[in-house]
Amino acid sequence: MAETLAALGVMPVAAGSVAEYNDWRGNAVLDASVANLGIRFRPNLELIASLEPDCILISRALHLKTVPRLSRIAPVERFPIYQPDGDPWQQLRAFTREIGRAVGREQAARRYLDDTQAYLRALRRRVPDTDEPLLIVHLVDGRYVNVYGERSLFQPVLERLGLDNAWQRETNRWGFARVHIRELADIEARLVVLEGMDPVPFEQRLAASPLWRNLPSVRGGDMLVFNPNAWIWSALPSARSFADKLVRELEASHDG
Amino acid sequence: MMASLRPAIAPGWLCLLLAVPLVALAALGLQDNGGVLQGLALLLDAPASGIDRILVHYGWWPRLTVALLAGAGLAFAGVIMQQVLRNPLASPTTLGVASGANLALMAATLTAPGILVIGREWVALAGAGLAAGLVFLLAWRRALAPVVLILAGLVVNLNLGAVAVVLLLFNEQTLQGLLLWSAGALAQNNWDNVLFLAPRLALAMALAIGLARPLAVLELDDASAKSLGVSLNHLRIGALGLAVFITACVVAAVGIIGFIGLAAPNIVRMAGARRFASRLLWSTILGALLLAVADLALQSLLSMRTSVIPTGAVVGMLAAPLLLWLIPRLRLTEERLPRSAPEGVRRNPAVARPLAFLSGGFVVGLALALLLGQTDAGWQWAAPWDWSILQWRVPRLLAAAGSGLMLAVAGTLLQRLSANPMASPEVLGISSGCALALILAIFFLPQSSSWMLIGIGTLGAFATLLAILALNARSGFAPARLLLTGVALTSIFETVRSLVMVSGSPLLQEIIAWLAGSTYYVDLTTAGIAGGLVLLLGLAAAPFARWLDILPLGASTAQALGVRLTVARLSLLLLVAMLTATATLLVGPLSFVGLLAPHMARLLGLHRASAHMAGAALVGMLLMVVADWLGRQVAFPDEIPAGIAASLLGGFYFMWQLRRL
Repeated sequence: MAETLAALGVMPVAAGSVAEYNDWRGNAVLDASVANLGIRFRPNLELIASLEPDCILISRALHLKTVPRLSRIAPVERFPIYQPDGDPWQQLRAFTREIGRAVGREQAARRYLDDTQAYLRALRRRVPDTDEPLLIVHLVDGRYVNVYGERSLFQPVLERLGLDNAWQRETNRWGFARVHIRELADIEARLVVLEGMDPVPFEQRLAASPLWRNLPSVRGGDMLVFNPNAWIWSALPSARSFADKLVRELEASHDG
Repeated sequence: MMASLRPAIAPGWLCLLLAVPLVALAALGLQDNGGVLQGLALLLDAPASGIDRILVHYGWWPRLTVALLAGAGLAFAGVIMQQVLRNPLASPTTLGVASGANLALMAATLTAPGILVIGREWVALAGAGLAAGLVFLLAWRRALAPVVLILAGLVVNLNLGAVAVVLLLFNEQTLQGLLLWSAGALAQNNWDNVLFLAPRLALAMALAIGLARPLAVLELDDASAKSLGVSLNHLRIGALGLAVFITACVVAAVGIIGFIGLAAPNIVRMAGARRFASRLLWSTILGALLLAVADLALQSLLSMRTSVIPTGAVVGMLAAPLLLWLIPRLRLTEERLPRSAPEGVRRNPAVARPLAFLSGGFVVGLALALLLGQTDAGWQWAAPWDWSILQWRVPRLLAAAGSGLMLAVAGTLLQRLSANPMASPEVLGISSGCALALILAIFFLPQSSSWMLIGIGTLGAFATLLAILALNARSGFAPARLLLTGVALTSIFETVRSLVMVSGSPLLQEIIAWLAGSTYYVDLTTAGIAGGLVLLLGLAAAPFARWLDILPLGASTAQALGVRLTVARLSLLLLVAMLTATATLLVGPLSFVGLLAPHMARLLGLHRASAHMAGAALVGMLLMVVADWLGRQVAFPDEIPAGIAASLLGGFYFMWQLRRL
């Protein structure tokens, strides 16, 4: 949410988990001026009050019990990020528009949406010709992965880029399934390993495990490993970052 | 003695009976993975290609082998622990091994993740060793007396657990993988764990078997054992050391797996294996079979699911029915806490002074917590009339003080009721029952309102209370049995919690925070209602003072003085349940306050029931208020939940007390 605000040209006064978030995104998306409110699930109320914000933006799924108290500080706007049904891409767009409306930047929001569309279209032209689907995973440890499906942030990006998601099986309501790598063995796809979650580098995981090394995609070298610098509980800016990194990797593997 | 001379055949049949499903399930599993014959061939043959065959060789077979090894090791360690600690409810993790390993791994993950790939086992082993060493150290002065060891283990487990929760709160994403490990996910990627476990278990088991003969003598009491020429200290250290080592190896390799180490020895005993050597043998075999069968069954049941269900957590849940069945059948020798010296406190007839002192302390603490705090601009005093700041602090302090009071009163009641200085509402399992109901509610009904949650939590607390009452009705609510029921319920709760934790859901954060006893979610209305309840329940406790003075004198004395035991115990327990449920709803199940406050009040010379209760209530409030304040300031703007801060404060105090015990 904070990154969407920043993308619309409104740097928030404060946000939760600032350092953790900048870590995931790989570069300081949020200015040093943004005060840290503590972990994003329990922002420090006293601190929020003392900063006297004009408006408080929160996710609809969280902070249910805190809303009445937040409302005493400033008007609270609640945004749905992960909804169980509906087209994720349309939801992301609606989310961006609503944020824009909440901070009086409808113009900027519209511009940002158009810009994103153009950006993804340009990226799509660079995608090497392929009909091989992608299997997008984060390692949880040496044995288990989060594999991203239909309702994840990555799905709409793949669609815009004209790529297919190889994971067609069920996911939880946040768009991923946590499975043992055995489940990946019979899926024919190009494996996309996202770094940034497992604290251990992927090469070390690979070196330690014959199972990993012998997955068809890994064996055939049909694999991309990169850090998408995207915050998975996020919106368009993270989606763009993922798209950008993905296309670069695809190009590199196509050329090399 | 006749019974023990009869060779135990029944356990052998039992194992044979369990071997049938093992073979059947294994065959079924191999069939699914490309045929039984090919599967058998793949046990020894490392295939160069073909993912299916590689999965069998590097995934399926190591998993089965590790399950067998881990089961055997845990059961073996369990027999030794139960023998040495003379407690059929002791289990391999009683002495802090698992929580030590867990904490060490967390620290390593956060500071030097590279270590984990090279030597995860060593990190875990070091942590486990340190924790067990601490337990031994605490019990050293009391010649490693079993009760003291168990208590030291309990305290160390709780304290390390509290630190682990703090780490988890602030690094939830990074520690996801570790949560999987600690829930006991048995899936394997290679043969490394087998190669790690096999030689170590073999060596430790061989050494332990050498101790079998002297260990058998431990069935007698200390004095008789000594008269037979057994050096108790050396024996205990040697045997427990080996058991700890075995457990640590298993935990390091596959994470925390409950139940087996507790169940296998008890099942075998009930099947008729009386002698120590035969229990050791059959438990080990049974443990191996149990874990392997459970794991194979789980694999075939869940082959289609896309979520992770770790074997360790599931197996841990099986412990529930077993324990509840076991407890009413245990022969309990009322073992009392050994008293080394007369209590260092003289009865102080003047209770006014310590009470005034405590009240003064509470007022100062309250004022400090209300007015001093960090803000965006550093440390600042707030004006006492500045509601714009106080509105954030008042509800939290009310909740902290209220829950501190309730837990302290509940703890005093329980300790006097059971004449057991280690009793506390947390130990009784009511908090756990309440927390369990709430976790399930938050997880399965994420839309539920806070009123619904309060209802569900209360129901959970009362269901637990009913279960406790039903299980103990036959014994007339004998204190020792009550506590054991509580320990059992708490362990069940732990496994369910770890099951929920591995789902990776973002809702976890709220659960973890609340479990850690945060006052964050308390608003003014809740605090007001809670304050009313506190007054009501606190006043309800006052008329019981006479009973409470008499009950610690023992059952027969109390009856002679005209107290109707069952009525007195039942009504006091009901009150304890209500106090605990309310406090748990406010700040979660985890705190030492109910254990600690009554102790400190007694140390201040408050012995008569009414003064003891009032003193404990003041100490409880003071402790929670200070903990809440410290928790909010130490890591500002992040917050360490009050329950955690209190249990850390209390835990260290308690360890210190144990040393002097």
